[in-house]
Amino acid sequence: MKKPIIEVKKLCKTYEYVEKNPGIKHSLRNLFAREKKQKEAVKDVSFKIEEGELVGFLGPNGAGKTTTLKMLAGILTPTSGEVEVSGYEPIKRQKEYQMQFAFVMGQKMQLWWDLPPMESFLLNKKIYEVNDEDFEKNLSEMIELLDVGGIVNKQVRQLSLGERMKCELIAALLHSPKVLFLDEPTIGLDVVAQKKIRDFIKKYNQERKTTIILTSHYMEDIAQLCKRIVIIDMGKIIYDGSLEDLISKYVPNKKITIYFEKEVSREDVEQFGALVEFDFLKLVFEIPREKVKDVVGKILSSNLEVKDLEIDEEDIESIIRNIFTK
Amino acid sequence: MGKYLAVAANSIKKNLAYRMNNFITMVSVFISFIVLFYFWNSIYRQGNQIGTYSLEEMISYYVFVTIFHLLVIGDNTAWSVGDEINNGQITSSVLRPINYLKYKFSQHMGNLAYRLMIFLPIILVVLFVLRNYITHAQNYTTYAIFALCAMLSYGLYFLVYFIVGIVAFWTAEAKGFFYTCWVVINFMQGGLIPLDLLPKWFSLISDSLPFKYLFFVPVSLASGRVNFDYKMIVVPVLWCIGMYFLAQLLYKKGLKKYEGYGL
Amino acid sequence: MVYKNFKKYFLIFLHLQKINIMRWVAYPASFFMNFVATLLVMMLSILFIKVNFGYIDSIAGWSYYQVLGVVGSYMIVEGIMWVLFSMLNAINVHIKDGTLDGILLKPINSQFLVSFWKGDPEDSLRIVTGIILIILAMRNTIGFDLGHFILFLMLLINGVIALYSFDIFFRSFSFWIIDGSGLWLLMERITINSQYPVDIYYNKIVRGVFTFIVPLAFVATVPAKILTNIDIDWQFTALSFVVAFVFFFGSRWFWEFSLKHYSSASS
Repeated sequence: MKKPIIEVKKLCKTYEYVEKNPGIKHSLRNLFAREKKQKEAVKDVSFKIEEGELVGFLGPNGAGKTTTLKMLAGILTPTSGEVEVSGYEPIKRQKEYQMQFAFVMGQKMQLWWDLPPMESFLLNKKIYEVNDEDFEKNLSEMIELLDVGGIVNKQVRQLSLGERMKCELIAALLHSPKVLFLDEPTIGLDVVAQKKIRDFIKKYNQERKTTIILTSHYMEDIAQLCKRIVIIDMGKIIYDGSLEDLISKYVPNKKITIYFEKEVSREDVEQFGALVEFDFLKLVFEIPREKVKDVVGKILSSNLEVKDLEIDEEDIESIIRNIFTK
Repeated sequence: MGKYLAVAANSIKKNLAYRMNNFITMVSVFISFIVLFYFWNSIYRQGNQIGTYSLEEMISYYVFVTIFHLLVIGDNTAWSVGDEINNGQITSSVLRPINYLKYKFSQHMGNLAYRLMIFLPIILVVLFVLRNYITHAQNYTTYAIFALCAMLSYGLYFLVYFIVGIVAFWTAEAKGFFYTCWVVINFMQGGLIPLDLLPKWFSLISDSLPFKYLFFVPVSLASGRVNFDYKMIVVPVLWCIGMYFLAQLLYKKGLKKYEGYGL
Repeated sequence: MVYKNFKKYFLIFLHLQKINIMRWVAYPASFFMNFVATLLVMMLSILFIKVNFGYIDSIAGWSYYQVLGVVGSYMIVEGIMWVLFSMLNAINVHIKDGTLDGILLKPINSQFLVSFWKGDPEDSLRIVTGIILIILAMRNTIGFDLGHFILFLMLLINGVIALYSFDIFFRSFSFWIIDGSGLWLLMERITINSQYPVDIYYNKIVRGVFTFIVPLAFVATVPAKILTNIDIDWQFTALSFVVAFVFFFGSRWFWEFSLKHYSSASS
């Protein structure tokens, strides 16, 4: 049994902040005595990730996703608990560890604003000690995959958000890291760009077997890419498992809406399943997932005149929302 | 009127949030006073004299210059206007029912209120500590004129730098220009060297510009080196009026150009 | 191994300088304006000295050309600081924006990368003006003397190291306070005073502070003294190198210490 590449045990991060209230009186008071408050950003978080996994971290803003990632990258010191990535303790910031991972932050640019991305690529090449061959190979592969050939020599500030993000990804992956942390990579991008980046991440993970942790609050990112998702809320992990299991666990039923040509009576339909709505021409059933196919088949093959039928998949957004409110 | 008061109040709040900055300004002012003191003392104790200035007058001059910098000027109208134009913030001011010039002036007032609050006590302490070295005006009339001049200077200063800041409508790289203006204006107002120590031909230039009334005149009044001359009020008033209209005109022109790029 | 490391850092240094120049020429309007502004500031500081010397013969024992030597040395050191290390001015911006994190996770010494991240090649104008001044100063005092000149250069570099270390020490405070944007202003207001000979502080304590606590003396006064005086205070000269050495390693330690605090205190 191979050792997991990322192991986190009972990780905690608490930090102090100063509360800023509106009003002049408070501003004056703050001048002399500041009120310090504590925030527990990450509470007792534990998980293991195997090499090559593509895991999604999902959660509302301020849930602790980014803080956790920062601790994995060695930017923040944990308040307590253990973190081990690829055999290293991240906060020690050993050069050997830093050469093995990359961190792309969707909201913070690491490329130089006034210069073409190529300059940032070349600098990264030197910092990460990538040899000429590997650099050329990685660069041309990624440029092709992401279709950015025409823009790498344009100033970053002249690029669109989508183009910038693609270049950020390239800059981060030039040194073929074993582990990739992506913090909100598709934030603010249009639908087309989002898809392109998702496809790229998927392909990259499949071909290179890079371990990837992706945080997002876009359901689509997670649904499209991650087999395994970790849901974090208020610093705690509420769920860690596959997306399918999540859906079947939390939303066991599907809604079937049927429109009839002719009025039907209650007795006619009650046999098929639990009725939630009865409106003579329109009925809504709640049927357990496994039984849906069966029930629909029975209804359609019965002598009731069905005009239309809808099977509602409760969208993942509301599924997650339900989980949070439970 | 109420909305401008609110703007001023907001300005105060914004300043209060940065207490480290205030502390830093105080430390740097304190250090400049020390250097000032020793610089002039080491010259004068060798028996020298600079022009018609005694040691006390020299020190007073620069102390008042520093105080003026802190209170009357003490902010960054040009940079603030320039930034708002560059990052598009000015658009929201244009769309709101608020006059931009008055808006910036209210902010400026807020800054002043704040600076008075924070720095006045320190200044009084410094003046007390250095009391043997400070010369000052002898009669109340001069003080009254000085106060009036200071207020005129405050308004004129704002207008001049507002106009400087508006240059940002025409170029995105205005910061170098602002800095150059600041350096030149500071020199022309007597911030570097008292204007009456400079060669005679220079006064031809400095007399035709408004800058000596920003600084040199009120500071000389306060340190008792000159007496009241009606020119000291009339000229700055005329310049204020002129600058006010120039500011409005340039602002309108600049806005038109800016709108051409899409608000 | 050490050689390989040194080579890596040197190549990265060169690349960063290339980037500085690229950035500089990308904005010709800025370049011109900054050039004019810097030239003006320098001319005015020379003018200040000239006007004063129109009325007197010496300041604290320093003659006109000797004082020019101090101003020139200051310009050279300040010029080097801006050309190479201008980033240190922006460190607070980086902390506020969070872009510092991106620098911290790279496999390269963070102090190195932060120091050289941005430079302003246009400030080489200061170095040029400074050189003109010190040539004038040397010519009109002791005349050209190779020994003095070499010692002067060494002390000048020493001054850069002392000022750089002081700067690093200072800016490490940005890791402790929330808004350090005023820090660089304070730093500049302090350093600008190194263009006056430290002998103007006839009070021993004050002079001591401006020599050993805030190393203004080593920035310009000490090198200029060697440049324009026949006598050499060997003891003090040796002491200058020791002080710069102490400042350098002391500030390095404080940088690393402050960085640790930043990692545990932020979010």
